[in-house]
Amino acid sequence: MKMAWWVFMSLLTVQIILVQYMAEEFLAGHYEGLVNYMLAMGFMFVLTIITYWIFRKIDQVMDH
Amino acid sequence: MRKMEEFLRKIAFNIRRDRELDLNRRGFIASTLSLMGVFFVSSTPLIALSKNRKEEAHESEVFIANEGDLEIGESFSFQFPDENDPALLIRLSETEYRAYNIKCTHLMCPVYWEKEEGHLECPCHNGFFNVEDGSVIAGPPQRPLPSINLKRENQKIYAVGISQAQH
Repeated sequence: MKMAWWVFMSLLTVQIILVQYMAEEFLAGHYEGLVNYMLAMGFMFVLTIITYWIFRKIDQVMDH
Repeated sequence: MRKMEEFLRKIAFNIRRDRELDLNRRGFIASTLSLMGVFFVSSTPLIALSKNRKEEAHESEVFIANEGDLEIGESFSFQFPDENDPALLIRLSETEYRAYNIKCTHLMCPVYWEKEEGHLECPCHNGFFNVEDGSVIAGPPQRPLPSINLKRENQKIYAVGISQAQH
């Protein structure tokens, strides 16, 4: 789970950067690119779920 | 006396291990997961807001002037999209019209149409803009003037939208 911690922190960093960029695009009035940012954030969320699931599996195997 | 002692013990040893929040590494990772979800969900209102703004921008259609009212080379001032946004309609030739928001992109001084020179000029710091596309010719402004999209119908000119300068 130590490795998981680092992986999750990097995923979270990417997500925070995406949020910041999206807010800046919105405030600048460039509404065309916002959907792409939302999709990217959705993708990151799904990626995190998959990563979490994999690490839980590894945990279970190690407990055995 | 004993009750007193119990009470003092209770307030002195107030750490209850069984009631502590279990935030070890696993718990922290799980909360990160939910934080990712929160970020994702919080992005959706922005999309909805931007849709609303777009619709508002398309709805407004403001009558400026009749085609015959302006001589070639003359300008006409109006407000678009609301009262605090001064704009200028310029007739370049028989069929060509241009309209710009005239707040200078440097420090928002009102830009005026210099008929003899054939460009838009900001008197505050000598900024010059091209009348064809609103781009900067010279001076301190870094960005072009926002141009107003025009629609001509039955000899009348309408302002239908504004193209923000990309920066």
